[in-house]
Amino acid sequence: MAAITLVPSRSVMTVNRRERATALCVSCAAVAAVAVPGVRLLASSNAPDGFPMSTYPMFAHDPGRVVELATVVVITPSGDVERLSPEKIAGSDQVIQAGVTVRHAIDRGRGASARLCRDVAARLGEPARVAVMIEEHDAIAWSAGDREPRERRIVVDCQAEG
Amino acid sequence: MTATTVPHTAARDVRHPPTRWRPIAWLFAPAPPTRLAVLRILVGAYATVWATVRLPAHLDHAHQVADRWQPVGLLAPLDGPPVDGALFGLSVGAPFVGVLFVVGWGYRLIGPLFAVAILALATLDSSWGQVFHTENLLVLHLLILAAAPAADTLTIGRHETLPGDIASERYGWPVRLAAVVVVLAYVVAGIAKLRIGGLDWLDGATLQHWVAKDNLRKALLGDAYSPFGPPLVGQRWVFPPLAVATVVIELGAWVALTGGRWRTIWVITAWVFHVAVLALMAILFPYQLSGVAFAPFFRLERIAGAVRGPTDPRPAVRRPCWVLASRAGGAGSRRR
Repeated sequence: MAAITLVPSRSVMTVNRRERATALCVSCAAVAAVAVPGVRLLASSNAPDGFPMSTYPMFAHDPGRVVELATVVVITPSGDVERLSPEKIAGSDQVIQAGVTVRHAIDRGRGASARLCRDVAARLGEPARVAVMIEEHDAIAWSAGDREPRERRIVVDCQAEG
Repeated sequence: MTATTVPHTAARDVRHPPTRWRPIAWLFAPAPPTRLAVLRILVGAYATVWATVRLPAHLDHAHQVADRWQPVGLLAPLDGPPVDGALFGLSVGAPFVGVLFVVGWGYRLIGPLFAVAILALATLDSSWGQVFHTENLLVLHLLILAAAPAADTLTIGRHETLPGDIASERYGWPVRLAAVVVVLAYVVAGIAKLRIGGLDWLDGATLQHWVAKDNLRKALLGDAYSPFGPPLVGQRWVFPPLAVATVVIELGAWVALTGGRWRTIWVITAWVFHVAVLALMAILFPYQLSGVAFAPFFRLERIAGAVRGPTDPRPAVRRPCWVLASRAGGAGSRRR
């Protein structure tokens, strides 16, 4: 059992009322900034996410075993698919944003997809056939080594001149 | 703002420790100015490195297609991305302002300026269709520090007028508030999993699917994916305990505020959790993995003490941090 050691007297600086009120306001604002999205989430599971006030919905919903993912690839003359980096696809180092860019282009229609295809082709800097496509995979099977998609749909393709 | 010095007798409170938790008194428990100053240095240094490392990515925002613009938060009112000049000034200026923040120079201006700059840059990163969750705590900590007297000591270019490292109510609340914000963020993340996924989330299938999907997505979009995640996906039995552990860590974050052993256990567990996320999904939470996110839970003045040598000869006392130090003397002045 630990012995209690008495602490000698010392001076403690206190704050005035105004400073304390400011600190309380800042504290309430900071707590609210984090807690309010959580309260909104309790009220509705569709509460919108934001920044820096976030509902932190990472990994909360089940994406399912079979997933459809949009991407942009190079198709070689032999018909093989070559993957491109997020920088080539979207001019971003963030893979999720690259995926969102492709998905949004596809959702906006053929014109937006063709524009994205041309943008990627321009970033390639070499002759190649570029394709905006949707792949459907069994993610569990992919993890086990089955790399071929269940389905692959080319939304639009274009030629990079180089 | 002014501070006054009042005599305080700690012995009375040690004999009669408080039994009821009072949030305001807990928040205003005195702490030495070095605790807050060290937090400023740690968070500021991290943010400065972040702004420097991310500089090319921030400058690349100027080359984004404008129709991808989906602003959030601070930037939500903008119809389009910031003009190139503003983007360049913000991206390049932030690391320099960060250095001034770290050294505490002109803090009344630099503190808020740097916090808002990092808030703007991080918001910009999240304004292209995907909201990120890696910089939330960094931004919140910077905003708290900006509103606090975090440069009353350990500064360059300012004559220090403090009478030593005397504990004050001025310096305790920002650090404790930063810790509360960390706890709340984890609790909200835990609530999100159960509110959106329901109790089914605990059976591990959702987590298994995410590990599989996230690595697959990275592979399809030409990014590096985890070498450990895909092989583990086939081991179904691993995921129920991982899911339960995740929710327990997140909803149980409040134990970190009780101090002592439980705080340390939670911080280590949360850190290991982020290591696991990195290992299985190649998702990096650098603020957490660097340890800076968890710094507010600790008596940071010890770092300054270790650098410049011991200044407080008083004897050691062991007690949990939730004991109201505002009644029992400076929380930061006790050694554990």
